[in-house]
Amino acid sequence: MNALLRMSVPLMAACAFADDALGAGTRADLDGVWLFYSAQVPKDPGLTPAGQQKLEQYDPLRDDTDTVCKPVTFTNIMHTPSPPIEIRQRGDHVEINYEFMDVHRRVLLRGELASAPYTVADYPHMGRSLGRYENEALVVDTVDVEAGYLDTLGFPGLPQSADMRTEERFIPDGDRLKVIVTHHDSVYYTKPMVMTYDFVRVDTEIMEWGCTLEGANYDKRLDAAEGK
Amino acid sequence: MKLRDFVLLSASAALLTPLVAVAHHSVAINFERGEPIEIRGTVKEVHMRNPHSQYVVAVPDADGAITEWLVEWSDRNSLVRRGVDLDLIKPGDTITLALWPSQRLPHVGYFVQAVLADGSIYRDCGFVQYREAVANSTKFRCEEGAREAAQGATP
Repeated sequence: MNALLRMSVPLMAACAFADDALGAGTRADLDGVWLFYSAQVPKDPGLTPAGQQKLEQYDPLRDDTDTVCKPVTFTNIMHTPSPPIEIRQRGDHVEINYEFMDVHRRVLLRGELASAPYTVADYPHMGRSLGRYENEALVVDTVDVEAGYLDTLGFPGLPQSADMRTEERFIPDGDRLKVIVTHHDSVYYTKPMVMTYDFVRVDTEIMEWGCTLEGANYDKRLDAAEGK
Repeated sequence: MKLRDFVLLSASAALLTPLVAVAHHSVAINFERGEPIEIRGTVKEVHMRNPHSQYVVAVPDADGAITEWLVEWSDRNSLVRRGVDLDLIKPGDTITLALWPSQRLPHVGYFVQAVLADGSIYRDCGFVQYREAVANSTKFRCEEGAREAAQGATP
């Protein structure tokens, strides 16, 4: 009971905070800089046998490409707590700038997904994206990603195949943003695998990350000491 | 979606499906975040960078033998946003550090507090306090981060 009470206090505080509710979000609310607040990751991602095997094979020293300055996926970037993301709507496209690893993404709002340009010019492995609006939400579909690992931080070792299609739903609500990410990948998952992220608007600017191998692989000394 | 729904949905989901944070480079996984340990030594290297800042500190034992400690801290950009002076600790400074020790290796720790070369104390507020200030639209003030003058020192 005490535990329940302890949990309910922050919930009540959160509800009190929510009483100052703003109205439903508008598209214009999307523009701005957003700071990670929380994430929800499925306990059971619904892995196929091949997916389970791939998860068991995950070796963070070998498979976490963040450690060699190669951003893993957008799903993974959003699990990185402190570097914010910036969204700017530009009429025929949307720019999404992730401070983490200086990932500058361009999402076209017209055209065909299969022939869309790589969404991050410097990182073709992150796939091709096409966006659209559904009411107040920005919906971004992504295909043609590099097979490997989808996540090394929120649920380390979740795999992705080259056939994966990802839908990101950016839902603004004033100074709050929810991003619901649904991964469709029948090679490794028996059902759509959903992760949800909550962001808060922050009055800051995106800064340069400046990834270096020495900085990115900061476990190097730890790994060397372990003889890996 | 109303903000109340947003908060309730997020809070409920967080209770039901807590974030799995078992990454190789996770602070929570790599460091014992309980009672800090203390080291005293001379700073050899300072790397204020992303994704983690680092100090290398030469720590002498009772016999004078030197052991190098690797001290991790937040990413540079995050420290800048929290108003941390990046020149707080410089090579050659003799300092005392309170650290969360590595769970895996000796002589590795995560920055909690420093007694600086001038005897003043610096504590870090951390990212969570910054994030909560942003979420609650309150001005971020790292009062803990303010340097406390050394005991008995002239103000």
